[in-house]
Amino acid sequence: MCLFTDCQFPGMKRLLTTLTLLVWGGLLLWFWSSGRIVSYLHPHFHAFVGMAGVVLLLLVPLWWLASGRDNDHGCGSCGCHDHDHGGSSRSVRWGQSIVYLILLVPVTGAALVSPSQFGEAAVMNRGIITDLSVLPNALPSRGASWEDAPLIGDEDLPDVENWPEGQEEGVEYFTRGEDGAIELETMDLLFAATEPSMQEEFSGQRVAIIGQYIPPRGEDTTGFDLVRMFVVCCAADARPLGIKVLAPETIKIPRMGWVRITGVARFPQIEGRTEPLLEMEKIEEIEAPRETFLY
Amino acid sequence: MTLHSNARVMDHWFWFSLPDFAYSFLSVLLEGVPFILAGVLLSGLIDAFLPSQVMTRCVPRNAVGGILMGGALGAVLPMCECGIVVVIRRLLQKGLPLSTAMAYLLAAPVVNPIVALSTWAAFRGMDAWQMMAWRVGISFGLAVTVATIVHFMSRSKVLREDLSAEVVQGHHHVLGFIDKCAAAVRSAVGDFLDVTFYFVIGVGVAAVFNTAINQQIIMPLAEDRSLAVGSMMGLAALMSLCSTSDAFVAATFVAFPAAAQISFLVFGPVVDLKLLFLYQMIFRKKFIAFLVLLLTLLTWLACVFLPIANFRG
Repeated sequence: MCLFTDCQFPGMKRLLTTLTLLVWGGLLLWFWSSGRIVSYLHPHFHAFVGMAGVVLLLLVPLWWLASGRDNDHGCGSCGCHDHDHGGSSRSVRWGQSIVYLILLVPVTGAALVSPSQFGEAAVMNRGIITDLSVLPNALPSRGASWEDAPLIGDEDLPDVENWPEGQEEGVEYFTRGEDGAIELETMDLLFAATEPSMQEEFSGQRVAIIGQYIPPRGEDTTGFDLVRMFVVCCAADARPLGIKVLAPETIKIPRMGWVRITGVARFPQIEGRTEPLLEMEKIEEIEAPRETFLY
Repeated sequence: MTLHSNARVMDHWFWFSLPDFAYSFLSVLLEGVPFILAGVLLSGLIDAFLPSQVMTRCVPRNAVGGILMGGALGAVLPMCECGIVVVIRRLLQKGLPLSTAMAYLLAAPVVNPIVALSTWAAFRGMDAWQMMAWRVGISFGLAVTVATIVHFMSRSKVLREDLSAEVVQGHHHVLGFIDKCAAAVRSAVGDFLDVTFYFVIGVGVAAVFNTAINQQIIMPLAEDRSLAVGSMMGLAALMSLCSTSDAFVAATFVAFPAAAQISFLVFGPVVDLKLLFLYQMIFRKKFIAFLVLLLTLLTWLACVFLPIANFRG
């Protein structure tokens, strides 16, 4: 199994270690600089990824210099420990080729294959959240964060304690589209379902919401879910927030496709709980927004 | 009006999707690698600049004092569970007593101000202080208990053979500052390769379960406290979330009693799929099996029998 041992092919080990650092550093830096990181991590972590990429790339020349000094100080003859003063030669015993394959192939492959958003399988496995009381840290958006919206960090989250006077949870605060519909996020309607005063404000209003289309499951082919992923840390902890949409007819949209739905907001009682419901008037397929997550 | 709630549809328990797997896998790698890098850089500095004598002078000679210090060290030197393994390995090589190292390893991912604050934030409006206090308290108790048990075990039965030997044979060369810096870089790069290797495998396995398992299947277990605790512990191990963010996920399982949510928060940071691979950098496989069993039993007992009220009724 062991193809490149220290003694037999020290040059090859150097090369593969350098390649590993370059690939990881390059990938991290690329995800950060290209903005692709936005689809993977909460904004709090973006800078760490960029910094880690830079540090890994800086380690390449430093490691080459350091490796040279290792040969100079002559401790290799003492036989007490390996030339790396670390764990890398332990990996040699495992079969270095396998180690480097695992270090290089999965991450590169995942970067190529990953669609940068979850599909229907992950959403269904996590269960669609329709009750915002299970997410005490979720707050209404104070306006939709649609196309070209800036990144949303904590500083941008609404300070509901100090909501501007006269605009308390009012629809006046939200912007309206060209068709006069109030532009909301899924989270806003879910939040409204927990607040009677907001329900009064939104109920019967024409609203427009973007999200991903989850087709109907069951006999009824006109009731489907519109979901948006809520993230705390990274995509691995993403929870789908969904609202029910009642369409006048069967919809033909690709599963998990991004859509903008315009319709009338309602808050019916479903199994003893108030849930938001959108009576759809219009559905349009759209490009995924730059900011796919809600925070 | 007929409505179908997708959340209630349970027509499968396993649904694998390669793109979902790749996405989740990559997101955890991107999140974890910066912290691993911080850990290996610290480890490299410890290797090159921290003489063993300093370590032995700083740690209380009394075993109980050492274990308590290890359990509380995370409050001063907070580390996440991904980054700490490599630091612990280096500290063991520098002569840190095994029991102290074990207490630090198990406590640091939770008993630290960052995780305490994130737990409080996640449970805002849901008895946040009590949830935070139970989480930190049980994690500390768990770490101290396991470290005490390990104190009575032979080093050679716990640590990997090569690591155990390095502790015994560890010594220092007299090096200048530049040589020490070079040694730190070599050490950091070597550790990065090692820990990332285990991390990639662990995250890969975890990503399968994180995306493919229907998490709704445990919902029927929520009503029985002992089953709820067990199922949430299992879920935490499968999901392999970071300890700084897992509270936000635990908080969404409102159908489960508080004790079960706490078991998720206590167990996940010490036993999860990626950690099973990372622990192999330090421990023998037999000991890892023993450790997992011990932590499972202690966490389950603590969360089932301690008077953790179901705060939310």
